[in-house]
Amino acid sequence: MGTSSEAVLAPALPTGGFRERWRRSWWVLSRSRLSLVGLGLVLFVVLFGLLGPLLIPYDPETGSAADRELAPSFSHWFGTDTFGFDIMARTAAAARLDLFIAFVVTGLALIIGSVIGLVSGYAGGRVDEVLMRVVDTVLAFPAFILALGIAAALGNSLRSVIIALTVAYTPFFVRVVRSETLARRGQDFVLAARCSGASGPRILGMHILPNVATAALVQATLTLGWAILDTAALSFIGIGVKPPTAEWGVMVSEGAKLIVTGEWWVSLFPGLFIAITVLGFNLLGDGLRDMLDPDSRS
Amino acid sequence: MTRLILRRLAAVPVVLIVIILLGFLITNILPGNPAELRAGQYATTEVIERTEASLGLDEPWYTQLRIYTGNLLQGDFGENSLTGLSVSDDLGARWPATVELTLVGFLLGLAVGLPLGVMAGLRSNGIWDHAGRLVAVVGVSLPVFWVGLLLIYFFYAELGWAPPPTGRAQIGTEPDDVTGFYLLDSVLTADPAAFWSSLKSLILPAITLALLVAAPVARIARSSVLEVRNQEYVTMAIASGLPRRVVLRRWILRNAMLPVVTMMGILLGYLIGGNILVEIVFAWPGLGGYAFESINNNDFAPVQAFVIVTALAILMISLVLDVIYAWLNPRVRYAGAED
Repeated sequence: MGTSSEAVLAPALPTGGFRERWRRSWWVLSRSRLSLVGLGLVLFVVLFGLLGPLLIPYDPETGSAADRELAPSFSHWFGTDTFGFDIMARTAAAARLDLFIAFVVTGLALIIGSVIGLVSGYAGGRVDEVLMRVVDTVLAFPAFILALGIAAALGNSLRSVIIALTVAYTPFFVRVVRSETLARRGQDFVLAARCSGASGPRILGMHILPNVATAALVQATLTLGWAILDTAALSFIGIGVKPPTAEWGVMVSEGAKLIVTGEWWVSLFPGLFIAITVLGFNLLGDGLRDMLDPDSRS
Repeated sequence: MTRLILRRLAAVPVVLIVIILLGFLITNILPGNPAELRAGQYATTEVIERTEASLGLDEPWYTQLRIYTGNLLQGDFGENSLTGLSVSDDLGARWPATVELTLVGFLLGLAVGLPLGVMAGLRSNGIWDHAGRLVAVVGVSLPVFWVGLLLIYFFYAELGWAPPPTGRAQIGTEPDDVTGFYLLDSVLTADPAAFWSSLKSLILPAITLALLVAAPVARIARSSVLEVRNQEYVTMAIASGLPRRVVLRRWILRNAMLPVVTMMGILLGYLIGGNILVEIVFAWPGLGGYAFESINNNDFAPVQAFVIVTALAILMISLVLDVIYAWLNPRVRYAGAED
């Protein structure tokens, strides 16, 4: 499916240097309106996180006792929390932290999962069987429960959460990359490379990897969204990032105590940013998958 | 089909060993010394060491692993360090709350998600289809704990329709204990006040969980119906003049439901994960809430028990669903018949 899809999608466009490839990718992406909306949402959150400190005249971790639990107003657009912290400044700081965690976790899972998937799919036989058994066992559990167990086992810290989520997401990449590798393994260009004396690692790196990369990247986009949701959920229940560090899940949990008395803004804004970011990644990932794999387009 | 079930059962021990090892790791690597917690804040080093010895914590790790596995096989999850109560008893008292909530939430989610998905699949690319797809993708992007809080804000703090989010029923109106399932118990004891009170407390958390289910169910049902609808045997059935309802029920729905059943296992696992968050938000006294308290007390025996019980539940659910799937799918049902 994947090999022919590029030709189908961009028949008239010439192949060539970096700029050409970039233009072609953009052309593919811009065919899907929902992907563009997703990309826009993600960019909005990234810019909000990066520009926040320049535009918001408050520090995310210093508050004033006089400004406690203020409703949103012109001086505090998102209001303030129990400690008099400006919620907008904290939401921006949390955007940086949450996106950082999501990219680290997804990057690690992408690299580790791709290597295992390539080796497993290319080697086949006993190695493949054992690896797949392990992957299936891990996949049988919801990522969140698995991460909860691992993070609790490794000790309650941000490092544990990163390790736990990486372990939980890696099998998804193994799965995707393995099945793509299996599909490529017997194709003529691989045989040609082997006949001309290319080594195993070279075939994997130069000939198979470029062909499985698109599928892995689609998976990565969706994983970014899961990572945001799971990081926030874990810190909401007290694992990983802890107050007073600004993190979306921590902030929602601070607001949880106030919601019954009607102070809605403390939880609303950080939760809204979680939703916007995850929706952005989901739309982008779905759109990319539909574009790259016309068979699954629905 | 027997072969299929046997093959599935053969995988169970492997998964069990993984679960037990994971549980052991949680017990032994979690920072915070359980002996210190048990001995209390003002205990001397000597007292702590004695507590350690009584818990077997001074033994080498392989002896600990043996003791641990032995205890686990007898259903002994150790003690809650804070209360000194047996974790198994605590779990026993709390599981009906979790099962009741999860089941009601799951069924509610199916009741909403399935018809939506089927309708969207039958009329693909219409306005309802686009709206449905958008709702579904937004649905899977929302953090469930945040949705719960928003529901509390609107229906309790603002409108005052819902009872305060403080558990399974208002204090003093709980039904007499028969099975531990409040709705069932209040019916069994013919106690309408208790039934009404439990139902009111159940509605918001169940809706929160249902949202978690409805969006992915609608999504998978839609794409499945869409795929089956375009198959040649459906065209054939329509062409042969069968009434639309018959085609829908016997040709389309029957085949389209197979992927949905496969999806249910994943969804139930996902739901159990979401359950802990919903229980925290609504102060629901179930297993998730118990795990949450224990995490914050640095008390590992209950957390470990939670992960193990959850893993076992998921394992069992996926086994049952595999069998249901095989039974629904003639291709699998008859596959093993010849050999």
